[in-house]
Formats: sequence, structure tokens, C-alpha cells
Amino acid sequence: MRRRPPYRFPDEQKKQLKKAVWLARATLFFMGTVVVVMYLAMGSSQAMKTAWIEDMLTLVPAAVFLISSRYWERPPNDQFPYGYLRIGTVAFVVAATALFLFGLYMFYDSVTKLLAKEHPTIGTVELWGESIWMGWIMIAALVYSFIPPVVLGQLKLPLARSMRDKTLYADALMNRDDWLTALSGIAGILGIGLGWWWADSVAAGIISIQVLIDGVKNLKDSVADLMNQRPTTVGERDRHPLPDRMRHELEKMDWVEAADVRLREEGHVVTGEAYIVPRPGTEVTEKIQEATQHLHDMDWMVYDVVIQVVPSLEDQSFSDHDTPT
Amino acid sequence: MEKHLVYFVLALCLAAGCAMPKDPGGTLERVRGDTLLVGVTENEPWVTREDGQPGGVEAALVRQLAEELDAEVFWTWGGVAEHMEALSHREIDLAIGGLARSSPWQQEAGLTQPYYTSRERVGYPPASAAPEDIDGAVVAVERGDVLAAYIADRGGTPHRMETPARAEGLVAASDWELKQWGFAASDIVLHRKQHVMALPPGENAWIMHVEQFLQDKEADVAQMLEQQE
Repeated sequence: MRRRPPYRFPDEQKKQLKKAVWLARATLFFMGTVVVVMYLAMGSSQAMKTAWIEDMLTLVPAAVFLISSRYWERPPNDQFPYGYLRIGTVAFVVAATALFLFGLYMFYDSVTKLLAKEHPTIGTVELWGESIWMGWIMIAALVYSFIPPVVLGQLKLPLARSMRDKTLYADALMNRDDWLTALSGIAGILGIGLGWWWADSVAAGIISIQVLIDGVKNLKDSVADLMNQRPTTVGERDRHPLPDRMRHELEKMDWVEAADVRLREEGHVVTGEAYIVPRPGTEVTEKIQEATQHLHDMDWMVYDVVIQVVPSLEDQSFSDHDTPT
Repeated sequence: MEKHLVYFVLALCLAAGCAMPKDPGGTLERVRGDTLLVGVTENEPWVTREDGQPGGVEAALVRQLAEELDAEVFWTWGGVAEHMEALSHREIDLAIGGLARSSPWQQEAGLTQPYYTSRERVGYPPASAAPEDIDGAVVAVERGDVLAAYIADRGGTPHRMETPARAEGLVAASDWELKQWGFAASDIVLHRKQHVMALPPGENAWIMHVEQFLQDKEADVAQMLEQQE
């Protein structure tokens, strides 16, 4: 079977990939320390437990990115003639599902604790001879827990945009929004301190809803990619201008009578088919070669767009039983 | 929206700062200058019973606590399970009975930080040499005591007796018992128990107060244990 040509990132994106990989490693390390700190401080607070689980879930997108980034540039082979570009998206569907399920579980956990009217016990701990209320320790842990993700998220965002990496983008947004988790947790602990026993469960509920929402959003986006959705700009649902531009470029060519395209995203790249109705008498083979090269020169994200010569742009039907409308 | 949330939390911090933490059920306020309802369960030497009156190490500590709070103590006898349930509904303010930190009641009640760690170890007649390990050795232990299982785990042979105080040779018992019976304490510790008191869950000001009271009582407790019969 004919294989796709291997894909290579251009130099600029290669540099950014290196930075992104470094940031992913940094995420694993710093979030690792956050997980340990949170575990030591969490006591019997539901909000702390939920925030701790959320911090552990933050490790998943970073790990997914690191693992899948090794595969993107793998040349297509006999088993995978289309290559490995979609690996990141597939892995992200799995990660998003995990987020969704955990968010659901944590929400259920918090609501049952609230309905059971459980009063969380937060006592003291002896540090350097002084009895300190554990609530302060928990708040300190929460403050520490949101500094690394917010910083890392902020650094990842521009890279994700320029690399057109939607999974990295989603990861960066989740990191940056960690401040809301920390704030909810702190409000919850302070609420307990003020005697509002329900504050802890409510804060846990808020945190888990956030995780749930993140899971659903990322699930929708990554499934849409796998369903060959039309290309969109990173971070927004806007239609990407590339398909229209491509069509115009083709129609400008003198041998082209009419043209149209059908494109989809595969991870970072945009790929698909272009349909050309050539003017009569054109040396089609040569012209196709030129046109293909021209299309790929338009943007680094264009990859393996295959040109099909067709008699007309009318919708085709491949079945013998259908009559074209 | 984000800014407002931050200000709200900061305001909470300031408002709460000095007064934290508070009791949702107002236990500390209620007890102070009034009555302290204590659930007691017999468990020597921590809680003993003489003519219906509680004695023992923990009862003594509770009396000290009540004096400090200017409160009158009301004792109510019962099993640990009932007391835990009563605590979870704030029907009593405190429960004692030689409870350990590792007890399964952590969900029902608020347990204090451990105020004392007791050890059960292997003792030997002072005339002999201290044993290095009990592998293959016979160790006397009170019949029904879980220490027999720990002895077997370490490779020893438990000799179950009515009164291990009269044993000749190695004995397994708690530190103060070994002292009373005239045995020397070896380095072989079979079991550690972290002692706590139980309080209503979530009454964090009350819990903090009791924890602070118990903080430096370790020496007192050691002394009281040695004075036991």
C-alpha cells in the first residue's frame, strides 16, 4: 500500500516543541511536589482531598503530551500508512474521559458528605513547640499548589497557539485555571474556621464541577477532531480561513476551471483533498504536481493534501442504486 | 469576577484571622464555666471504676481540664460504640477509655492528636542478660492478650498465663507493668499505641483547646502510670 510521506515540523515549530517538552517535564516535576505537599496537609478535609485529586489529574495531560510527542514525526509504515499524527488526540480523548469520570465521582462524594451533614474535624499540629491550627497549614499548601500550574500554564499558552497543538492548549488552560481550585479550597477551609461546617463540602463540590466541565469540554474537542471536523483556529471554535484561501489559490491557476477542497485536522496539521475541474486540453499530470507543491507552500500546517481531478464539482455518488439529485 | 472572588476570600481571612477556628456547635463556649459531659469506658489503667466513680490516668486528666475550664464534670458510663455515636450528635463533649489513634472511629468522632505513646515490650529478669531477639524463645503473656500474636509473629512461643507477673524468664507486657512486676525492659518493642481522646467531630475550637491542654502532659502521664497498682 502506498504510504504518506513522512511529516516534518519546520524549524520554528521544532524549537517550540523542545520548549513544550521541557515545560511538560517541569509540569510533572512541580506538580509531583504539589501532590506530595497536598497529601501531607490534607487531613480530613473534603476540599483538600478533591484539590489533591485534581492536582494528580494535572499530571495526565503533561504525561500524554510527553509520550505522544515522541510519535508525531514517526514515518508512516505498512501498518499505519497514514502515520502517527493522531496519537496525541486519541490519548487526549482518554485523558478527557478520565477527567470527566473523576469529576463525576468527586462531585458525588462531596454531595453525599454534604447530605450526611459530616462535620470535618480540623485540629492542631505541633510545630516547633507551638500548637498550630491545621487549617493554616492546609491554606499554605493550597497557595503553594496553585503557583506552579499558573506559571506553567501561562508559559505554555503561546507555544500551544503557535504550534497549533490543541491538547497542549487545553492543558495550558487547565493549568492557568488552577487558581480557581486553590481559591475555592481556601474559602472552604476558612469557612470551616468560621464554624460553617458545610463550607468544606461546598468547596469540594465547586472544584469537582470544574474538573467535570474541563473533562466535558476536552472530550468534545478531541472527539470532534477524531470525527474529522473542519479546521478551526486554536482556542476558538471559529472557522479557520485556510480552506477558503486554498480554494482561491487553486481557482487563480490558469488551467483550473473550478475548484473546491475538503479538509480536516490531524493533530497539528491540516490535510484532506482538493477537487479540480481542469480546462480542456490541460497537461494534467504536470499541473497537478505544481499545484500540490503550491498548496503546501502556503502554510507549514498543510500536509498531504491530495488533488483529485474531477469532471465537475457536482456531488458524487458511488452507489449504483442512487440517482444523483 | 476573578478579582471579586479574591477580595471576598481576603475579607474572610481578615474577619476570621484571630477568631479561628470556631465550633459549629459552640461546644467550647458551652462547656466553659458550665458542665463537661464525659463518656467513660472502663479500660485499666486509663479509666478505672471504683464505687461507680471513674479513676485512672485519663479521668485524672479530664478533671484537670474541667478545673481549668471552671466546669463541673458529669460522667456517663458506657461502651465505646455508644459514646462515639453520642459524640457524633454532640450529646456528650468528650469520651475517654484508653482509645488509640488507630481506632476505627475516625469518621464518627474527632480524635485528638496523640498525647502519649505507650509501648508493650519484652521484659526479662534483671539478673539475666537482655535478650537480643525472641526467635525460638518462650515469652509469658497474659491469657487473652493480643501480644501473644505479636510474639508468635516474631518467632517466639507465647506462654499464656493467668498472672504473667509470676513468670520466670521472659515476659511481654506494657512498660509500667514490667516496672511494677520487677522486670527489666528490653529493646524488643512488640506494640506501640498512640493514646487519644475523642471529641465531637468538627468542633474545631474545642478540639484545639483540648489538644493544647494535652500537649505537655506526657511526663505527667508517665508518672501517673508508674503509680498505678
